Amino acid sequence: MDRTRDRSLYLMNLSLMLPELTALTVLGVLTLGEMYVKDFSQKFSARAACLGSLAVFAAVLFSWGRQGTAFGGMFGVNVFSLFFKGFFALAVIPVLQMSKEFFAPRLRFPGEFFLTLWITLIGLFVLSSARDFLLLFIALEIVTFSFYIMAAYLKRDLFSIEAGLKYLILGSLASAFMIYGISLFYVASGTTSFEGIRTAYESGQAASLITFGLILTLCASAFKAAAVPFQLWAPDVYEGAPTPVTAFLSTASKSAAFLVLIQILFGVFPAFETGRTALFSVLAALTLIYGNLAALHQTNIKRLFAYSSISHAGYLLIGLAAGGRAGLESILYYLAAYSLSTLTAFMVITTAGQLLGSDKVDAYRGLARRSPFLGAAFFIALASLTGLPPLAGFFGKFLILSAAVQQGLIFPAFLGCCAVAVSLYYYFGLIKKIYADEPSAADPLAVPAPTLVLLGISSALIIAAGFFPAPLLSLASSAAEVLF
Amino acid sequence: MTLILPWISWITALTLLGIPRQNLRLLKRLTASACLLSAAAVLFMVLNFDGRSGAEYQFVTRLSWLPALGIDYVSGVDGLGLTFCLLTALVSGASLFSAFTVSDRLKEYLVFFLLLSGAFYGVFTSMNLFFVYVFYEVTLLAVYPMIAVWGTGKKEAAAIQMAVMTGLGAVLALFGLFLLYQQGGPAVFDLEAAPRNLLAAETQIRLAPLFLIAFGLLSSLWPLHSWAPAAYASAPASAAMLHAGIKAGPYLLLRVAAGLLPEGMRAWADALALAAAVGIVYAAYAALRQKSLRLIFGFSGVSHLGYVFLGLAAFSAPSVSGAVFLVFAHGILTAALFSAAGTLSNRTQHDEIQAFGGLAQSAPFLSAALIAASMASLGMPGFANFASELMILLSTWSVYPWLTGLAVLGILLTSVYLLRMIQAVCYGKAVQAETFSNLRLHETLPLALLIGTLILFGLWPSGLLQWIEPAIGAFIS
Amino acid sequence: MILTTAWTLLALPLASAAFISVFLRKSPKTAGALATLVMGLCFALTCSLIAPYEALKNEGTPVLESSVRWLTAGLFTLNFGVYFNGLTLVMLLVVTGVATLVFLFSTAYMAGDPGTSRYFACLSFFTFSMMGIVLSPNLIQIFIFWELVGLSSYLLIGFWFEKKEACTAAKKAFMTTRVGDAGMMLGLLALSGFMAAGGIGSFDFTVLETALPSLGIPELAMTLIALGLFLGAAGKSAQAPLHVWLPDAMEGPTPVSALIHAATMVAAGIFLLARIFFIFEASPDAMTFIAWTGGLTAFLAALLALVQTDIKKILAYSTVSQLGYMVLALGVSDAQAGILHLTMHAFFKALLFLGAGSLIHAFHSQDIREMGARVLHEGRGSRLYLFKALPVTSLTFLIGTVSLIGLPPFSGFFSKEEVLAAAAHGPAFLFGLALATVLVTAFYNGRLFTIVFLPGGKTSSHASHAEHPLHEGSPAMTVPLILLAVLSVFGSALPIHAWLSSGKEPSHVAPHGLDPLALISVGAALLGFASAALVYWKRSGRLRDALPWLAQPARVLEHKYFLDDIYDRWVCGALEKKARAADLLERYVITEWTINGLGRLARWIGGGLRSFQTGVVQFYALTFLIGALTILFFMTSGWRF
Repeated sequence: MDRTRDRSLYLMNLSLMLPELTALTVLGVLTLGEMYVKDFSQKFSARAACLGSLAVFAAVLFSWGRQGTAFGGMFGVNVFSLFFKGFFALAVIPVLQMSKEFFAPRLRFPGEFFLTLWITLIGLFVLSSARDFLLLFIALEIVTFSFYIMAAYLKRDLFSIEAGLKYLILGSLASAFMIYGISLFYVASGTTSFEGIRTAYESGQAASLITFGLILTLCASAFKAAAVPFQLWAPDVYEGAPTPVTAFLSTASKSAAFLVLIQILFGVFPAFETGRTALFSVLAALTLIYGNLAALHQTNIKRLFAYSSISHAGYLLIGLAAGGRAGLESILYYLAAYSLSTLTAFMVITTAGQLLGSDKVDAYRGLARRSPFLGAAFFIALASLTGLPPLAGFFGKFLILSAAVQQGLIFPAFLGCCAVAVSLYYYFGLIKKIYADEPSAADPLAVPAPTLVLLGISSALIIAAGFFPAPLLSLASSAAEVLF
Repeated sequence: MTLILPWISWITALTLLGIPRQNLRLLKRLTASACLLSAAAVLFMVLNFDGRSGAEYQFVTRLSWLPALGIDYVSGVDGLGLTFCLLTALVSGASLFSAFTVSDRLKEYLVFFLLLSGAFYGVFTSMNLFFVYVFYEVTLLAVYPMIAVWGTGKKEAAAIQMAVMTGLGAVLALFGLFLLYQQGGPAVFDLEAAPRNLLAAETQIRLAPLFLIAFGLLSSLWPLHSWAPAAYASAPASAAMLHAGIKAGPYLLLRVAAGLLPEGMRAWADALALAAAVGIVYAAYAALRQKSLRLIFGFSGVSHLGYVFLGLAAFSAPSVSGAVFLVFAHGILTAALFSAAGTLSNRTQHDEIQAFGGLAQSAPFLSAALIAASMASLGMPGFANFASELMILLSTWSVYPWLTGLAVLGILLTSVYLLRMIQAVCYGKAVQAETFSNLRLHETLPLALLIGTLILFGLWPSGLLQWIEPAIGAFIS
Repeated sequence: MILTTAWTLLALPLASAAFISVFLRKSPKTAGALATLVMGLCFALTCSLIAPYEALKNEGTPVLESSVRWLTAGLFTLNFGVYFNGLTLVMLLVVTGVATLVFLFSTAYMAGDPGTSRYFACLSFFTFSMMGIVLSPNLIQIFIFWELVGLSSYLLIGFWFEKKEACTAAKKAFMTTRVGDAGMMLGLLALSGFMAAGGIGSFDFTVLETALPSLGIPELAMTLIALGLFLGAAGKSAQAPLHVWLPDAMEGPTPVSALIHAATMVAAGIFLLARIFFIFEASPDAMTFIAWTGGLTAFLAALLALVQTDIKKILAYSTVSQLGYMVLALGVSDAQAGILHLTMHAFFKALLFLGAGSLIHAFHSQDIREMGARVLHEGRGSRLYLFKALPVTSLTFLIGTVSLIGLPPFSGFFSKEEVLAAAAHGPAFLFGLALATVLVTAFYNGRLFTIVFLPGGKTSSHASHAEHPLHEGSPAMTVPLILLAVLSVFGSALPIHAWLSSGKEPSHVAPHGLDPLALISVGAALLGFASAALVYWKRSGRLRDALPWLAQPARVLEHKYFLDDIYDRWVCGALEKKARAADLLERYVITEWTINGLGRLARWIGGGLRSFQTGVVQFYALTFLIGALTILFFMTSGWRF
């Protein structure tokens, strides 16, 4: 090969990796800051991380139109991967603010936590651009490993250690399934790249072997997405882990799982059409039933949100079962709307947890009376999660259920509708508690300023995405276009 | 014009959020101005609405909202929509006064109040089924906290029961919309353009029961009604006036079922008629046993809705116009009844009819208004309710003779429980006479306004029918 | 010209009612004066119509009509207007005439009462609705004013709403008439069903009369329609079995009873039968049913009057019995006799009620025994003391009683003769019943008259020594009495038949001279009156004390044939049971079991699902594996659901 071409090979992949490179430099800055600047971790590390994520988001915007692959086809960039990168970059900001607030009283050096968080972010970036199962697996492991650490971050809190340990054991089981599946792909097709396996599957050679491998990988990613029957870990881990980590788990980790599912089902195995619809409509139905009905009993707010995230995974699975461009579009929109609402809710839970001192649902009695702003933001987030119209959540559900109906999945769509009525019960029960009941203490709650700003922005975004969904929807459809 | 109608209230609701909680005077003035402005807009539409083309939509404005899915925000109003806008204007104007009597956390209450009345305006002015549904869900979102927080008695249980039941109804309607969307594409949503024979006959027949159950849940059709009396009994007066007065269920049923699924409606008309007739008699019997004033009015509402659905089931032009006219008359009547009940329970802090007495002596105007409203409710001529009930009975007799006979029995039963109420509340020895001594304007004006409207349209029914009949003619060609 | 007056006649009472209730609430005197003035004006206007109407009738246009469109319900167009023919003229005379006198009487009678302006407003509203019934050109408008009359009678009976009995009486009256109205509505709807089939859209009488035969309504349906409409009339005119409300309606002020429950409202039923006589003629079975109802009501109500001790109750039952006569006359298809008797009855019954009113005003009690005892006590033995103390009331009451019994020179005799003559053509048993009723009527009137006006025997303990002596009411009370007495005597001179008959010559020959039927009836009347005077010459107690051998039947009569108990147990009891069932069904079956049940079921399943959360990691790993295996099994075995 003459030198000019590989130099261009070299140059081209660098410009493609601009967001990852900026993320790495920010990582460097954080580590150096941690070592050399005096009490960097108390004051500056969170703000530096926020600025870093904004820089990364700018990098994503800068390289928006780019197309192409690097590292011999393993690392590909297109609108779909950039959509996810932008999504993760923005999702990190509220988590950073939550962790700054959550860890300040608990740890003397919260700086290391932001490092682990940042490494997860880099893992997510690489995951969204993976075009090869090995790279996919490596990125996935980076993300899950840092989640194990973050879940068990409160060394002296028994629950946090239990959560981390459980997530570690079951996570490694899932990774074992994943790697076993990938090895079957390799045996059948001789390569681990998406293209190679796709041509091998479509040409029909060793189809049963590949299908076997496909099921295993799907089970592994279903575990991450907390879909029935792999969802038993979620409530315990969500409750035990520190609240910012739970927030990040229920949004970023779940979105990563669905990213992998989409890559596999639509990127690599579009031919696996009938199996997908059958399998995922059953999984979706079970997840909806389990998530909504189990949530009726909860007295701990974080466990309630665990079951709520399971039920929302059910809706996303309906989107997967529906498939097609409309299905994919609705999944992407629903992920954005769901994550936005859940992050707003978790911001309120973190602040309220700090000020009220307990995660019990009864502690939230009369919250709106003590701090109207927190009450209003919580009301908007819960109404959006229930799917009441003028808010983003409703439009997400509308898109998913209409896509399902388009594909003729009548029963799952009907179940999705009834699940809204059941979710009405526990979400409105919560709303009633924060508005109707008498608070235990009457003094108003002092909410830190950055949280107020972030809460304001996110509630405004929820209402805006509900009233004017066109921009977000066009973004999602341009991302979905890539795979069809 | 129709575009801004819902937004007047919603924007004022947003501005209210900014105002400090203690400044009650400003809060009240802003809310009152919002309601009056919307009422003025409705008045303007009423004056400029040319009756001849009552069937076409007028004041139409079109905004492209989501080209990808072919859904765009179209607002306009035909004869039917205008009647309901007039009803909303009147009822929200009247319930404004009792809304001001709320003492605890008035600011949030007024925000939800404006949200609710704006949403109703939205339902009746939007011509795209998607937005009709969206606005209706907002009414649910707004009325739940009004009952759960500011209600009385077993308010939480009643509120959550109402939220779940109407939520289920709304969700079934949403599911029905999806099926429509799948069968007929986005063209189904546009009310103006949707041709009648868009869907094949047997799909219409398959879809109709879903919508019947959904809208039956929303407007307390007989077997699905039990959330209504409990919710209105524990709701604050203004919330009950708005939500019980403005019944959007029959309107939605007309727009969706009669508009898009005429074959389905005809196929399931017998079931609807039976449920309606049984509902009339059943609710009347149940009302006979109730001890609290607002529960009696709740059940009488359910019984009156029976006539509306009987008229809709007969599915002939006069019976459906009679049904719409009765929904209007019933709305005004229920608002008057709940306003009176609100005044009574505000002053005495209880709702038991046996504990009242001699109101005719202590508060002659209030008892006269209560008696007039009850007389309207039991079908006394001179009120709009009688004119509409007469239209319904005359036109459904040829379709369902036996069920109309049952409805006439219902009229009889209504007089039994209403007279029992009047005797307990208005007649007999005066009890707690001093509490009713100084009836202020905000307690008497809404009653006078509402009962005056009932009498006006009772003596001059063609005033409303000139709009309703052409619009209904378009449905039932 | 006639029609414009008719419109003004309709509008005037409503205007006065509205004006009083809005402006004159605080000034009862002016309200009374205004109402009486307006009623007097209406009476004058009606009299002014007699001459032009007769001229028009001779030119061959007996009916005038003008109406305006009110409402269209598909095929049907419902109009609102006025309709003027002979029957309307007669009824207008009766209504406005008696109303004017009663208004005049009320200004004095209700002087001290605080709610007097409300009283006059309701009374004017009543006359407006009564005018509405008389003037309405179609069936729907009659039904509308039918209910308005029911409403005004409810308001007036319950005028003294502090008294519990008045409220229950008002409610009972409203409900019973409402049952009648429901029957009428059903008849009307059935008729509308056939009219829709026959393509007829208007309910006007002129249109209906010509179109009815062409509708080809089957025999049974025609009978049911006629009976439905008759039920409406029976409800208003208190015919058995819907008569129970009239005696209780005496709780209202006496002028109200005089106007509404003697002269006008109860006569509305008879007017309706006469107005749509062509419908009843169309079904002979209905006619016989009506005749039998009328006859039986006449006789049974007269018997009930025997055992009453309250003067107003006696007169109430006498009204029910006389109405029975009119219905009997209509039943044997002699409408003109019925209407004639209605007119005459209006005069002497209004007279009797106003007389009773002035007696109550003087004695401050309604029990005839107390009245008799007090007269005995103050008259110190002289039987005719009352004639000296209350000359006008006693004399006019005597005239009214004699006219009611039906002795020759008085107007009551002529109208009763015509009814008996008509009954003679009918079934024999009914004719016998009618004659027997003449006897019983004479007996209870005799009893009333002797006990109150000619008291005898020792001064019993009933004497209540009121502080001021008996004295005659003010002229406002005596003038109406005298006028009505004049009408009761010379009423038959009015050319009622001329007006009623649509053709030129009066089709109905008035019986003159002494034919055998007149002799029998006068004999029976005299016999009845004399025997009552004999029985009660010494005693003034109840029937069972006076005639012990009649004790057993007297007990049945006192319990009003146990009709009220039957109604309470069957009608109200059944209503309560059904209401309790609906309430229980509502509270338990629907809310408790289904809705909350579903909620509890959901929570129970939720609980079950939660039991999977054992917290043991190995169990989670196990479910993970089982899940993966099941998926593998289903997917790879090629199974497709």
